[in-house]
Amino acid sequence: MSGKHHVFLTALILMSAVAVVPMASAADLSIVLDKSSYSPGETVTVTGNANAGTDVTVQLFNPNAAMVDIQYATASGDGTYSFTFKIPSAIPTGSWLSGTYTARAYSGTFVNATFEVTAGTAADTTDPVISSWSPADGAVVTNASPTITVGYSDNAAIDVSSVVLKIDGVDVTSGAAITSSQTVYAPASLSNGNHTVYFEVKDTSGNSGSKTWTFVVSVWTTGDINHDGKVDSADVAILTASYGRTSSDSGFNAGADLNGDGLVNYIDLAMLGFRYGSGE
Amino acid sequence: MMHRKVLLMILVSLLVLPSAAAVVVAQSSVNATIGVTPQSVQPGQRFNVTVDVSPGQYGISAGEVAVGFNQSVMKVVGVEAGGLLGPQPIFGLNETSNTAGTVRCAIARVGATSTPTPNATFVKIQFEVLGSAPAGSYPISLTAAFADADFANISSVAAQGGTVQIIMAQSVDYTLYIIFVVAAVAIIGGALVFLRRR
Repeated sequence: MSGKHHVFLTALILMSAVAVVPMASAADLSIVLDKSSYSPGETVTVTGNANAGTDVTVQLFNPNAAMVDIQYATASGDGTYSFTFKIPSAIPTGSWLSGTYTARAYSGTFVNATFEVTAGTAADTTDPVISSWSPADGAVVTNASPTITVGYSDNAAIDVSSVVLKIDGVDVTSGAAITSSQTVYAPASLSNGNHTVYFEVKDTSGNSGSKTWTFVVSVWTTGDINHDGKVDSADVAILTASYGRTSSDSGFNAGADLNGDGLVNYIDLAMLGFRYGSGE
Repeated sequence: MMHRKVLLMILVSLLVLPSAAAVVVAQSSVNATIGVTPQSVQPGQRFNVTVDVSPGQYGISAGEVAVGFNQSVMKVVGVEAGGLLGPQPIFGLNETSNTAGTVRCAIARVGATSTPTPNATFVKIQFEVLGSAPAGSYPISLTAAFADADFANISSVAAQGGTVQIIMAQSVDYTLYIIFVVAAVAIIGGALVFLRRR
């Protein structure tokens, strides 16, 4: 091969190199982290730019330069990429240690970014779960003093001092029996009608759960069949309309069956008569 | 002498104890009976039927009666509560059928019931004998049930019906009346004739 040929080949190789290098140049590849320091359980978000359509690999290295995670993707049409890495909820775990980590984006060449991971456990962000409540939502109770019970749990620990129980907006927490799993309250006497219960509980990390529901108290004087607050001729009329009927008959009015024996008769009339005129 | 006293005591006991037992038995049930006033009536006349109750040891808080009658000879014209269940009892049922010949009433006391309830009338029913009713004796049937002061059914109730006598109106004998009138006319006429001639 002549000297001219050597010069020509050398020039050709150099030109090819010049043509290739810009496609993967360090100037086109970047890496950015959303934070500089992370706690256990948090997510590291890595974004950056690369040549559109090129493969991008991002690796995470622990303080000892050992790789702890890796992900691959193709840069989008606008030349951006994005990855997320979940830090274990407890540090140390496996190769995950506390200290300075390196995030490396590679796409022909590479760029680095560093971040800190602190030792400890993930912050509790889980709310307590309110699993049961009674009387049930929408329930109709015939007792003016229904026991109100709320059951709950938490992935960590309930802060029993955080419990708040309100009935119709009135805080009755001080009268409730509160444990780490349930709160029980027995109101002295509730009026007929709807009653709204609000319950709130927090865990020791301050996460809270709450529940609002409504039930109905329906306590009426025996004989007040139409629930208008008095026992009068209107109730007699209702009873009369159902007189002689059994629970299997059409037209049977269970409200008129005051003794609940499945038959509306003179016994029910006697009970109505006993209260007749009350409430007027 | 001693034997005589013992024998006398036994004899007295035998006489007294059955009477006492009879009284106890009589108080253990509620008796309901039909009363008819007047007992004999003529077609077109009215009469009253009462359901009279003897509660015995019970307090009566309510009751239901069914009165049956012969609808071809009489009809019901009115029903009202008696005094058994207080001054202003309430009717839960008041059904009269002059077609079927039945009266059904359920009545309750207002307020509490004292025990025992004194004997009294549960319900009064006024009847009218139909003009076409033939003479005869007609039964008035009765079934009854009562609730005690604690709103329990009284299982021991004895109901006894009654009868009403329908009699025909006595026909008036006009014969003597006619004879009397004819005689009077004859006498007066004769007297007038006699006076003219003089």
